[in-house]
Amino acid sequence: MPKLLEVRDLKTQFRTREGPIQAVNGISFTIDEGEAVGIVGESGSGKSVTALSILRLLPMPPAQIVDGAVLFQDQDLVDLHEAEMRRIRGGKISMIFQDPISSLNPVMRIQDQITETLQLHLGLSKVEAIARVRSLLEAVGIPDAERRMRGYPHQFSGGMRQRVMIAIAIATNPKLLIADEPTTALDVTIQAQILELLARLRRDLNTSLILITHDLGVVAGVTDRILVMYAGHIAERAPTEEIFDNPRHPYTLGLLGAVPRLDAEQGSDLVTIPGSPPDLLHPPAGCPFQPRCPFKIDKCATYPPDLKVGRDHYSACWVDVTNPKEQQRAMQKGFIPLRPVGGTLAGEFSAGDA
Amino acid sequence: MDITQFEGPHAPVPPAPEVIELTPELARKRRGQFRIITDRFLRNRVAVAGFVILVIVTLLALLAPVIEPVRGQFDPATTPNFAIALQGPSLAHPFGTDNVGRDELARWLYGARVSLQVGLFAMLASIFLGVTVGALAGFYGGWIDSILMRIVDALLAIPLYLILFLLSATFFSRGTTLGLVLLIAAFSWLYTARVVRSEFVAQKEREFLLATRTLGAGDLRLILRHIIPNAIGPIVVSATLLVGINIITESTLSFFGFGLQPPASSWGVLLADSESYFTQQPMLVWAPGLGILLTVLAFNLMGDGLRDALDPQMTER
Repeated sequence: MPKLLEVRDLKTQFRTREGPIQAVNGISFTIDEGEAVGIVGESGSGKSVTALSILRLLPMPPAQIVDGAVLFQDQDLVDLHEAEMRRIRGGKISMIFQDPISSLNPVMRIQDQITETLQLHLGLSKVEAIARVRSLLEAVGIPDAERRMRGYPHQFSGGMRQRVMIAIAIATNPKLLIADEPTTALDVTIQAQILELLARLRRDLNTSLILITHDLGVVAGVTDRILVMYAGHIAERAPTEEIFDNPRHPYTLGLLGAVPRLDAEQGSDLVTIPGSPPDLLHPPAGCPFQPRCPFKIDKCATYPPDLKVGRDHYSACWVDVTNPKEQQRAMQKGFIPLRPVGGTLAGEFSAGDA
Repeated sequence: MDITQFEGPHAPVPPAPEVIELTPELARKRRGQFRIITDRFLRNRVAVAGFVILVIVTLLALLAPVIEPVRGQFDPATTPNFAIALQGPSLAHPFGTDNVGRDELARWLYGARVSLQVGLFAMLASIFLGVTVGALAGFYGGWIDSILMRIVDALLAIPLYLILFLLSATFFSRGTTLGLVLLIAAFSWLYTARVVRSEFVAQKEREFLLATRTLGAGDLRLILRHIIPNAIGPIVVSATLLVGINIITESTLSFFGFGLQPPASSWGVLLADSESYFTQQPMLVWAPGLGILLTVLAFNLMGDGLRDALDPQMTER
């Protein structure tokens, strides 16, 4: 499939009094037309900064894209003129935010917030735009659209507001939809509905999707590929099933291990990754995960290259985590192997050794 | 039923809501934003009293040219008639007459026109200036903010009446209403600029503005369509308060002879004209004095009422 977006060696910094913070530190990835990609990582790993760098919506200063390129339909967004950038935003690339409660203007009617983007990008008149609002709201599953479109945001529930946000985002039929933690602020039951809606709209509109989340469960059902980010780097990228069935980066193993499981032994503690993410003002030399990594070896002092470990599967780690010897070594430092959910997992190991 | 949201730190613990099905009949009863604000304003009796006083004063001012002929006077505001100088209140002259025999009520009514005009138009000009400066400073921050706000600080540091007297006596065409409006507006926008700036600083980090930016909206659209409507409460409040302040400024200028020039009348001019005759005919001072007091008080009361009615923390109550 043709390539839609290529991020090449993107580096985004925040200038602070104490020195530059490397929020995104040289990441590269591509997204094909119609493809759905998940970006997973904990808070501060650079997921949102990556998205906002693509749209150039970070406050500059203090933020600055110091290096790299963002090629969207073969156009480099990094040095595009601001006026042209405004045509891309909302027209070609749309974004949905985490908190639908605060993402809508409280003093504007729903219909006016939707027509705003239609008027901006499609040059429709107010009347033409309003005529489209109803079908958009129906497309995102808002009942009684004709009446509700005249309401204000406070009259909508969180899930309904997120649907409105999605309606605004797809109003111009963009090529790429970026959803930044779209379900984090919602009830679990609503989360599934919103994810399903996103997946359906993506198929219907043939839109590419970037789904940013810290919740591996969210990306599992929706995305084709997953990028695992840590401290501004991409630790691992692979097709979605590969990440779950055959994780190759210690950090991914940690993330998967930290997912609470219903079949866990009663009374057992929740699994965490020991330590905390590095201070990005003073990132450790080499691999940023090494201070927390049970697989750490001397070589980790230099940053590992993107090693190809399978078809379309890359991991930035020197260590082969599938090697039983390495696993044994790691377990002495507290590594808890993953228990299989069905298929074979990299961490599968006889329980007696733990 | 109304959707009642309890938000913010002052929110009481919500009682268990009665579940009522939203029938079309109930849906019709739902109040729009405007109704909610009006209802809330109307429940504030003091503010309504202020509003009523303003309506009366405004009507009197507007109708002055109509009322006067009815009372059978020929331009009583400007025509001296020494035969009836310094009379007390009577049926023919409810507020009495001044030292040259002009009907005080007629002058009071025409004075109200000028005072209100100056108050309102100077308010409009200073709101325009204050909102523009405050919006630019608050929205862009950085050196734009620093420069604009230091200008505001510098202007606020000048003794207000000193500079007003000076400018009025030198540059501004003395005695015209427009000149007074511009002069007063030139120094009354400063607090508005500060209020609007702080409102913008608080508003500009709100999530929906970033969301609107991702739709491709430019700065101008963000400021005009998104931030100002969200900051309209403080702007409206400072507008009402400004009218009162401007009326006082105008009166003060006129009282000291730097404002409107006789025979034109404003409440300040009336005060200035009558101060020497206070002992003989106290009404000459009471009428314009109370006019200023009541009108300014009414604007302030209404401003307070609007502040409460427009408070976004309170929803459909």
